[in-house]
Amino acid sequence: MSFKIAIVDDHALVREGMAETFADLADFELVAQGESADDAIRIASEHRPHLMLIDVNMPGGGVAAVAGIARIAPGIRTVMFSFRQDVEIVRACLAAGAVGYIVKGVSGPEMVAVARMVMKGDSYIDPDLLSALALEGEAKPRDLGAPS
Amino acid sequence: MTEVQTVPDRHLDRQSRKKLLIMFGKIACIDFSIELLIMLVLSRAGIITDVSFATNLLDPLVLTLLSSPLIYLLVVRPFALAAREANGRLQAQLEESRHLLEQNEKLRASLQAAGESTAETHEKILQRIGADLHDGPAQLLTYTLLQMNRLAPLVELAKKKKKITVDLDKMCRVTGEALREVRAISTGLSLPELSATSISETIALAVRRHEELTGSKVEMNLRALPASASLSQKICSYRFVQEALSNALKHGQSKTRCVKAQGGSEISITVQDDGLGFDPASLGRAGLGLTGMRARLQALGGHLDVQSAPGHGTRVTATFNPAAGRPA
Repeated sequence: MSFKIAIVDDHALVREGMAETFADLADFELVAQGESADDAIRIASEHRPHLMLIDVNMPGGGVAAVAGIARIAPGIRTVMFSFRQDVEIVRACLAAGAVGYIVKGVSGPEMVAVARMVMKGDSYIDPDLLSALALEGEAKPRDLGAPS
Repeated sequence: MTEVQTVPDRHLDRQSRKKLLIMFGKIACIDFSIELLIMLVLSRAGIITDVSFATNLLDPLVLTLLSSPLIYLLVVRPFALAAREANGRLQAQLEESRHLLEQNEKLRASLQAAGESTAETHEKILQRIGADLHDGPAQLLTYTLLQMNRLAPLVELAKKKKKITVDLDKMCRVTGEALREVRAISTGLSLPELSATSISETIALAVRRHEELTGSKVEMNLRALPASASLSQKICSYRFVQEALSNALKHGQSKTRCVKAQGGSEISITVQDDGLGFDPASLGRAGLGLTGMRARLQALGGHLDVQSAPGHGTRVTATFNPAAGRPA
């Protein structure tokens, strides 16, 4: 089975790079792209993808997008994709319902590996940020069961 | 500034008339005594002989009555007028220096305002560069990194046929490094939202960002800091702590860093490290950061103090008056 995936980022080139990364894979099918929080929520309700990769800094805000998606379709796995390496932001994303946080700069294969990991039911946080969270003793990524 | 006394009225009031009469009296007495003395000397010398003393006594009296106004007009009045004129000149000078002092104060205030607005413009430019780096090169490199591995099969094929030798992994590593650097510069340039924070929160924020960026721990001790401060004071404090901590790590290679801040009539923020230290008199490139800090503080009417010696760590202190800035 292939997982339906959607990408939401306001930078067209980054969207393109991610789309091409998932284009050749048999286990993922790109169903939609967007560039704002509104787009993300609309895609979630219209396409019901299994996984959404969402930029943190985009019109409407990535955190609001994840919270909105969690409200209308809690089964959708959301992974943040950002330059920001701020523990507060990671915490906000996790609280809103995200199950992953990737810092931009990863390679295509790394990105795919995270997507597969999350679809297996694990959560993923960039290692540097994870240790920063752990330092504060508050690393609590949501423990999720296997995808339905 | 004390009130300048007004120049006295030219018309004579009661007080002045009384003074004038007393002055006439004094002149008359002195005049009379001098003339009496002259007459005594002349009679003793035998120059006046055949006149009685009573007649002679009347002469100086008449002479005094006649000459007193003349003496007043010829000697005392010009002198008094000259004195009054000199007094007027002094008053004018006093007025002028008061005016100059006022102008000086205005200039100083406008210079400080100009300094603050320069700092604000400077800040906006930094933010703009940070945002441009984030939206431009960083995104381009993100795309490159995502795509680069797609070349792997081609590179392998070419390697097998021994047509090219490309180290794709190294290219990925180097590109990743470039992205990290661009991101670090962009993050350093961008400023967190400070309009709603207090000065202690601002300092704590700069410390926390440094800790996150470097994965290190910074000791912090903040005491009696005021709840409100102007935005330029907060930006200056943030940049000072950010720059000083970054210097302590990069140039000083310090193991421990500590930030102390104290309020009062003046706010002082100190960043201390146990690093290599340096000779403040001979600064190389690192001097640029200190010059920037100093300029920011001077724009607030504050100052920067640097204490360091090779092998003895560094201690930089920023001091400014919290009441000098505009409240935010």
